[in-house]
Amino acid sequence: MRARLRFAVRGLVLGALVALPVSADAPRGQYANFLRTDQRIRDLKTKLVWERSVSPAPVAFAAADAVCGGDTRLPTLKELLTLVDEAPHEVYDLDRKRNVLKYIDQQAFGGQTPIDKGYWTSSMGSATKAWTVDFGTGETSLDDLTDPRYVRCVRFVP
Amino acid sequence: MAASSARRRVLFALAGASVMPLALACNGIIGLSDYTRGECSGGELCEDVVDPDAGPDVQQDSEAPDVKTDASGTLPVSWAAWPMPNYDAGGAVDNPIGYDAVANQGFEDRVTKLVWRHPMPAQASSATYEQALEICSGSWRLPSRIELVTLLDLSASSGAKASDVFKTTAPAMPRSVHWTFSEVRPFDPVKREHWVVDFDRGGLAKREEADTAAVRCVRGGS
Repeated sequence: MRARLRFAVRGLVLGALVALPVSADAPRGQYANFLRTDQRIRDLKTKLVWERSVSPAPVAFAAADAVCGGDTRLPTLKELLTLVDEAPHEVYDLDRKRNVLKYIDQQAFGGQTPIDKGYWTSSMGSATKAWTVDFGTGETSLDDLTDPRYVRCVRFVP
Repeated sequence: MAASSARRRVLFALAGASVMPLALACNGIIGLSDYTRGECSGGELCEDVVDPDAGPDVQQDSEAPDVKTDASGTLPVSWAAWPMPNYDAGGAVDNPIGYDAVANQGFEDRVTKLVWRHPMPAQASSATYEQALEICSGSWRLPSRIELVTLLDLSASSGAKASDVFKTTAPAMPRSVHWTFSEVRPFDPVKREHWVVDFDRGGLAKREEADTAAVRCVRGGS
């Protein structure tokens, strides 16, 4: 009986690991249901499908387009601002050895969103500058195209 | 006997493996996992809003182990409820920005269906946060951060970063920062900062309630 129970519990744990649904900070109905292992998340309201992973390292603006392959592209400033969670969550930062705030949905993007640098958008401010979004502060800034910044690609799917 | 016991054991395991995801899926569907977030998740008032007129609950702050960890403000957080209207020069041309005139009200955004008040009264060019709330009273309200961001038009390299209708229909939209009701979090009860959208440079900034900024009212949306 005990062995049987242990076996059933193992099954339960396995089931939980395989199919654990994750809840998000965004309001219900914002993001389509996703699993921890999903690579993209669909925003049901903005109709944008976001890549969860970002460029492995910050890159200059000229290299940002090459990061987005296939049918994905760089988001515009206004599109990337829809990912900002105005109520930040706090996480421990291994590099800085202290807690930091992240202005992005924790379950949907938190783990895959380093905040030591901002994120490129396709919105140009001038011939030499483009807009970036900082998910460590929720702010925008106009950065030189040669500055290294992260890239998160997106696709509009009506 | 041994065979049936083994079969039963496998059945148990299968039942366990299939019931758990089912239960979790049900939980997701009926929204039990959202229970603790209460009305917050619907975009309504949050449970930590005891009284909208009361200031931030300072006592709650001091009870918290670390005040800096308290990211709560007093107002609900607003999320985009529509596609973002884009401008041409940004590379993406999905959902191009566009407005229709609404008689005696202003302009309706073709993408978001939000109606923006235009013209604004003269005192709206420079107002404190308190005055901004008064200007946008009645059927109008002060926009949230993401709502006001939809008005940005970064396609012009110089000049105001607002859509043409607001720049060319007299009186022209002031080329300055505009109030949103969205609080800068973690909310500092002394500084009382709100996000403002900069229609001169483009982008966002923070501003204390007692300072002045321009005002643009909105109606519609959730």
